[in-house]
Amino acid sequence: MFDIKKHSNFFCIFLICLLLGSSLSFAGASNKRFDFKKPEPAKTAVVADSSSEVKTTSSYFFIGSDAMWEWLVSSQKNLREKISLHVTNLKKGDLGSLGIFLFICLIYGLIHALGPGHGKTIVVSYFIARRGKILQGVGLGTAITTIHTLSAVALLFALYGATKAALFPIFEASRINIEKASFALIILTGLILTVIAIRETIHSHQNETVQANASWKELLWLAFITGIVPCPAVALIVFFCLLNDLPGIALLGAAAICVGMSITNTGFGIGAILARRGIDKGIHHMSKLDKYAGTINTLISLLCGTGITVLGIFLFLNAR
Amino acid sequence: MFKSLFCILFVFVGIAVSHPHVFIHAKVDLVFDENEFIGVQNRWEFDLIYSQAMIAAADANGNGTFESNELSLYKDQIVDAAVEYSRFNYIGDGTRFYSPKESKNLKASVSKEGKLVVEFLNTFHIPSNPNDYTMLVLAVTDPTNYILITVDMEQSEVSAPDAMDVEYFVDALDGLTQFKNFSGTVKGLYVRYQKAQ
Repeated sequence: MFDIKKHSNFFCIFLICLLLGSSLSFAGASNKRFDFKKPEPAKTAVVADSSSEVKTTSSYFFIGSDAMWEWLVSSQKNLREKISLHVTNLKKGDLGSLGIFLFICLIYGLIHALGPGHGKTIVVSYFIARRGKILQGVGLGTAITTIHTLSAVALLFALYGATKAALFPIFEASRINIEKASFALIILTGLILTVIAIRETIHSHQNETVQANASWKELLWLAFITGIVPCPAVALIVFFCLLNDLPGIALLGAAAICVGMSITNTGFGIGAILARRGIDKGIHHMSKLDKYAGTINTLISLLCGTGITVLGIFLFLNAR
Repeated sequence: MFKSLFCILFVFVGIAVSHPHVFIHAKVDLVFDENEFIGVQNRWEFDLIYSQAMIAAADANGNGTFESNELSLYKDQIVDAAVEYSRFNYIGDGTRFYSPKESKNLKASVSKEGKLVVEFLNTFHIPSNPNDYTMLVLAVTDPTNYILITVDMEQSEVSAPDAMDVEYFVDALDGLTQFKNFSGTVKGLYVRYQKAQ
């Protein structure tokens, strides 16, 4: 009969040998701090050791602490997880989840729209360049996000009808092409605003009154070209709902995200309108500057037009 | 008045980032052989919403597993599509980034939570210096912020044979000009290696 107690010492020794052996088999690697030589700064951050290149170009331009940045991105991750959880609950017939689901979608849209590609810079640049009314700020902010959401929903439903489950890679390919076209239109818009500013400079030299006011026609054009890029975040959530056979919930969720994104964009629009009013008031309060008011206005318009052009070029070159 | 408004506006424009659409929880391990650093073994677990979209797209026969023909979608759309971004494995030596070579051993599975898990070896093939340590830093990130990758570098493992002497540690990327485009939240895995004497 095999006596375990009798052989326990042998087992202990065998176990220790086994552990030692397995650790020695990885003796080549050890977690140990050493002095990493920090060479002179490289002239360029993009260097390759072969024909292919490694892209390190970043769209990261954050003013704030790392903790704040981490909160902003991780909160979106958490909200997305909660959205998927509530969709699963709704699929199981728990209608009590609907209110929370819509509220989370709204908050998600609000935070998500802080990211680039939702039209804030365009809204801000436009309302700094052209004097706008609060209603126009609300109009532009809402129109951009509504078109942004609708284009995603429309493209997704159309592809779902045609390709069913295999649609997402096709959606991504379509989105990338639409995105590039939209960025090209942003460059064009910036150039148009710059040309208008130059024209106003010439007119101001001819003592004609320069208005530089926002117009609904321009607002609609801006809303269309900025918003036409389908929002992948909306598309993913809508598609997730469709996969769970919840088309109605998909539309409600998209609407809630749209409201959230509109709040953010409208906030930026109103902020820019108030900033522009502040600039005008400041110029009039400073009597020395008052006689240069026209020049300052056209200079601001010129800077914003150029800014939108440069932004468009940056977005176009970094589109993925 | 307009001064303060400008300040507020500037701050608002400053926070105009944070734009992830896809979320990955990654695990990365370094793989060596007797002569060189072979590459980075990646395990990417996607968020549930993106997972379901990509599983639906690839799993044509709906059997819950991925056959070799179904894997090609992930190879093309996920792994090799990111090759210009070094498949999000940035290997630098302080002055230059190394370009990844081919991706190998691609596997895909679905976790019990329904999340898509993609595993592959991102090969680099960087030989060891004959006389001194070769020093490298690995950072895992998507600099465009389209994908938010969370990775606990402390969990990274290094697989090396006895014939290769490898040392490593995890630290911030501060002070490395080469990584200046990356967020301050991204950590680096510092590694040095040479053939055992």
